[in-house]
Amino acid sequence: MATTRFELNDDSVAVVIGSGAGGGVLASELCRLGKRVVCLEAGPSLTMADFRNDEFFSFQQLTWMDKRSASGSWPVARSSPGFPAYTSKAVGGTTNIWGALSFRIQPHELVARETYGEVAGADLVDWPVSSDELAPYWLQAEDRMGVTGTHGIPRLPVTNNYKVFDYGARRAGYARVANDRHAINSRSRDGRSHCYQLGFCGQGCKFGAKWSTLYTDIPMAEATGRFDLRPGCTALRIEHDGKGRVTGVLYAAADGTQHFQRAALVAVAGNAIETPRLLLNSASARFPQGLANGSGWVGRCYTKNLNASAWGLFEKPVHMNHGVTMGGSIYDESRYDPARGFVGGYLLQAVQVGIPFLAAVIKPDGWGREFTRFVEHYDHLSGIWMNGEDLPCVNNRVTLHPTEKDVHGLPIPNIHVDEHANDVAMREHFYGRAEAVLRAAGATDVMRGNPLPSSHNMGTCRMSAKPDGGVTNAFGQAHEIPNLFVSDGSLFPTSTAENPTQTIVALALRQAEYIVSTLG
Amino acid sequence: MKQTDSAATGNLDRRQFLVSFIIATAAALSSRSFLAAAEPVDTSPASADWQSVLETMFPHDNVDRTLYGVPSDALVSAAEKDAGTRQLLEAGWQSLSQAAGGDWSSATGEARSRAIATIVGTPLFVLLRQTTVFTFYGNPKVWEVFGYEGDAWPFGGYLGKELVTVDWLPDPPAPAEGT
Ligand SMILES: Cc1cc2nc3c(=O)[nH]c(=O)nc-3n(C[C@H](O)[C@H](O)[C@H](O)COP(=O)(O)OP(=O)(O)OC[C@H]3O[C@@H](n4cnc5c(N)ncnc54)[C@H](O)[C@@H]3O)c2cc1C
Ligand code: SF4
Repeated sequence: MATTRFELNDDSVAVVIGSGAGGGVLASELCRLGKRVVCLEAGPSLTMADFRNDEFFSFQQLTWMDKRSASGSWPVARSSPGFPAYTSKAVGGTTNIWGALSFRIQPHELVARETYGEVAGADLVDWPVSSDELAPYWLQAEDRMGVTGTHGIPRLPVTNNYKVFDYGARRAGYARVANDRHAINSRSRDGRSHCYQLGFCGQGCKFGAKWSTLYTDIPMAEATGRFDLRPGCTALRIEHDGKGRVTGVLYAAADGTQHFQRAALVAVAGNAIETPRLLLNSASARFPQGLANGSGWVGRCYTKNLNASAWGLFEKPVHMNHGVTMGGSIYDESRYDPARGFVGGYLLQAVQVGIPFLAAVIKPDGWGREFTRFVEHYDHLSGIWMNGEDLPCVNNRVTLHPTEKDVHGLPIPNIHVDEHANDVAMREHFYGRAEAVLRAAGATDVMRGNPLPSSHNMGTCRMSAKPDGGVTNAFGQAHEIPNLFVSDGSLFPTSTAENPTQTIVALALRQAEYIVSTLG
Repeated sequence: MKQTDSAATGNLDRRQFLVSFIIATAAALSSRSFLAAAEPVDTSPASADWQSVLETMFPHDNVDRTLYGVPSDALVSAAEKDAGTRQLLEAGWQSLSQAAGGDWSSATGEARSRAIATIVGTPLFVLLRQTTVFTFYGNPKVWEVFGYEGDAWPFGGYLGKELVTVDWLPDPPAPAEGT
């Protein structure tokens, strides 16, 4: 692999923190546009050959395990207080383990405040960027990621799990049902293989058929000769000068030594928990509340998409594990329809996991026949996942833990979430509808899966038109510091019903263009 | 990162890994709340005792009983190696026996289930559950009985093989455009 090295005191480089969906794409796009980039990535550099079709092994290999804590009324604070979010720590970030369902956000969701009106107890806002402005970047993202059902890319073949899901969905009265929008190659494309249906998308795709920055954007950036990737390097603190412009990043290398990389600009894409944490941990005399936090928004309005699952037990065999992790979606419930008792919407998605994950996390307190009868009929199960819009609330936030520290001596992040009544109502609705779909397909029994540690993290550095309403402008540029950028899901003012990653990529592409055109 | 074979993969190191896993889990759980009231006892529960607890918690009629021995042996080994784990397990065994009417081994299945219900969510429950999840539900011999094939890499994935074995439902209609 071509390795380019820039000097620590080279203050002309852009430093990108994180190499996942946001950081990986931003870095490669900046390189393509002629910028020189240093990418600090806390995790190791792996290859497809390192991945294994083994849920427990991969979990240890790929997961961000650094200490975190949780508080508040959300179910995860009780079931998984030390592991409230599920993200990855490796070159490629969470795109190593994502399910690859890729969407555009519906136009009305980008104006949530206008559409839903005032919702007591929530801090709804409209996005400072419209659907029309995002459209060309979504289009680019779909091409770059190879999203099925776009750009003439055929859909993936139907799987067992999808067949059951589709049949149940239609019998339950749904019309908008499809196995589409996978950022997974249905045929070889872009120098990458087609999908062989291993069914271990969550464990790293050994064929490289599923889009991950690890083997797309990272090598693209490397090929420019302007990319210096530093795996095993954790950003600890962003420094600034007397004029309030950032000057570089203090980081710890894999061997524990600390270094300071100077920079012309810094872009933070550590996923929406580590990103605000780093800004808060970078507090200084001039910015006592943390960088870019004069308005007090850093870490606030954390959203995560409501998740839950339901598992149907069938008389006939299903073998849900034969093929892709996420089979497809029912779109009907993603509409705006407050008559259901909640604003916002959700997607129902065909999902499968193996026995290890099924036993470990779906019912964390599960025991007895009630539980074991589902596990022992594993090959007769079919699963449905919920991806819903949770409401932004100002006190749902990432803060620095008052006492607990990580290995570098820095405060760990605490995630506090008190669920809004709207969230609870939407989840109950999902459980009812998912059960209806499964029973319509013939399930004789249905088990509700608990909400899991959040795999979609958003909102903690929200974009806003006005400086007092958020952390960055509509391009992810900090209102307070012109050469500091946020480049991940932290930017999302609201979480929407759609899985976030395609929009993270679109925003990164748009940001790269903005950086090059405004900062040179 | 270099991953050695010690983790979830089998062979020599696997047992050692399980024991360390249990000790670490017990330590994490104990620091949260539990140990204070533990009284020393003379007789430590044996592997067979834990096995019958685990069979009550996770009953499966079709599974070879020896497969439950993997987690219960590992629990006993961990208790032998680590005082904190021993304390948690011995105190837990006592409270379970009491909740089952005084003596676990002579208690009815129903009494045992009632006893388990009293420990749901406690550190003991979490330790027993996590140990079982890892060593029993993570065991390919158990998967085989329940119809989970695990690793699909050796045969190259399900494409063109058994991707669709559901023959008891019609094929989905051709998808509408724009969904
Ligand atoms: C199991 C699972 C399934 C998913 N399925 C889908 C799906 O189907 N569709 C969808 O849209 N989304 C899905 N997601 C979510 C998707 O993976 C994320 O939205 C996306 O990867 C987020 O991109 P990111 O750039 O913000 O962060 P990440 O991809 O998490 O990348 C952040 C990187 O930053 C690094 N980092 C963090 N802090 C530091 C630091 N201080 N210094 C250096 N490096 C640091 C991390 O190690 C990591 O590599 C899924 C997630 C999971 C866990
Ligand atoms: S099912 Fe397809 S995308 Fe998923 S891991 Fe296998 S080859 Fe990769």
